Amino acid sequence: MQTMKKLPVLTLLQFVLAVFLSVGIATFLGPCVHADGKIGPCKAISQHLIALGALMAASATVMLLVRSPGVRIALAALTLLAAVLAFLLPGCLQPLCMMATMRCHTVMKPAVRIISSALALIAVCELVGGIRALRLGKPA
Amino acid sequence: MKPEKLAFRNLIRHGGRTALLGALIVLLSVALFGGSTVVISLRNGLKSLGDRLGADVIVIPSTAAARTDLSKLFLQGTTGYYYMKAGLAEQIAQTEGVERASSQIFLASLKADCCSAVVQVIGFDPETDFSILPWVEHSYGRSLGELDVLVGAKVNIDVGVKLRIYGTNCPVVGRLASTGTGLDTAVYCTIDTVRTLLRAANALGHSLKVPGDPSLVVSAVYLKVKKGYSIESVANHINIYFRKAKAVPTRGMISGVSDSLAGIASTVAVIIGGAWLLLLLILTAAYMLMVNERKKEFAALRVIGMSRAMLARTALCEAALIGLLGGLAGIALAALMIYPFNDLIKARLGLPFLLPGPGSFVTLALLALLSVLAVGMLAASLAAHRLSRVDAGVILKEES
Repeated sequence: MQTMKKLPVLTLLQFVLAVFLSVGIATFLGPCVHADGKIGPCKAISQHLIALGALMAASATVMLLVRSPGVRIALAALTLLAAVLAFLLPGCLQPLCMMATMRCHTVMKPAVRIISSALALIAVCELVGGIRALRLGKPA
Repeated sequence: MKPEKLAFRNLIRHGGRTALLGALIVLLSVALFGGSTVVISLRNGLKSLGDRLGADVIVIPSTAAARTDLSKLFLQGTTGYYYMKAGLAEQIAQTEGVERASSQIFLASLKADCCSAVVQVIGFDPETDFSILPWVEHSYGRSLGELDVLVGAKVNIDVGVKLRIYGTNCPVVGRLASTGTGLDTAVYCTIDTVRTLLRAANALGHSLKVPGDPSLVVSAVYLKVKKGYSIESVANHINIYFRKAKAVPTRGMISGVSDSLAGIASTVAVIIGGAWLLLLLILTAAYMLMVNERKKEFAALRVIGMSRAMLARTALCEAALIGLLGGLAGIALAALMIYPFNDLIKARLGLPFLLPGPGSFVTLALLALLSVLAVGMLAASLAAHRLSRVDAGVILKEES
């Protein structure tokens, strides 16, 4: 009997979430828009977050194509690092705008924290799966 | 095999059915836990607003009353500044029925001066204040020095940093506890500090429409009315005899919020009640439909020796497991929607919004979980009763 190839659900989910992070920050989850045209400190954070999202999406794409456990472990570790960075970036590593009632505090920060937590969780699962596959000597 | 173990295996084996029932339970628990948390947060916010205002009547210049919505200042943190002569405030304080009176001065910072937002600066008189001082004592516990400022919970400036207002460096010495109102976005200092800032603004050439010497102006007078006097009468008296002032009873401001809150609370209650009833009906219908589908399965279990009680227990265990997992998932989902985005909800509602503490959160979550479990078990009990009564012989004969 022909066995169906297992779908890499977690990697696909990572790809979707990473793309959602980048596209979301560039659009509806974006930084504050000041009426006077001034750029707040959150603008730079949003650009870093878009880059991190793109990095995680690229990592997921490579993981979908490559089955080698070693490469997958390295990419999962990279994703985990990027997700932790994305989590800490707004508010911890870089300051946001002055009022906690502003858009970067009320929309961008919580959305990034939720998405990056999910991405970090996925990366940990991928990492564990990759290490297991490496021990068993099978493709991940 | 134990009924609990069988129920668990049934759920795993029929993933689609489990997911569908679980999704219904998730919906119910989101409505129940989310709705209750929102209503409780609004009630907390309203109580907090009442506590923070402290005063029975707020008196502002009559020119300001025409263009300023006081409730917006307190609820949404809209910045504003207006001034009247301090002498007028002293006369108002002498009005019959006034127990305590304390003046405050408002000032709006310049956007360019400190980061990226205009900040409302509120100066209070530590000698006479009865509305802000209890809050300051609760959160800071010391007296404020010249130019020292305290920031509201929603002002994103660290303690120790110097806030530059009209070219004057004001050290941030503390952060006040959250009230869930617009007061969280303001900066607080003594009335003398605000007067220094007013002078600095004047020196920099900013027109703040201060009538004369900044040392002789105030923005608002907070009044506490003596027992036995009507708050409305005192406010009316001030409005009649002091042409340049406008007295606003705070009760009216809070009752406006209270009316909005009552409207929201009743809407949420209707949504929760509707969701509850609808899901009870849907779940009962779903379980009853499954009775026919699972008659053969239960007949086979009867033949291999399971008692009626064990069959009923298996069906109820399945409902309880789905209820538990769906309930927990729904509570987690609602918490993820409300807790991180509470400032957004507050801004959209335009009402005071103060999230319940950890104790209330756990209690609410437990109550929501128990309610969801009760609905699931109730819906499944009829199906469990019918399944346990299947005549194994007849069913198996029909099948063959």
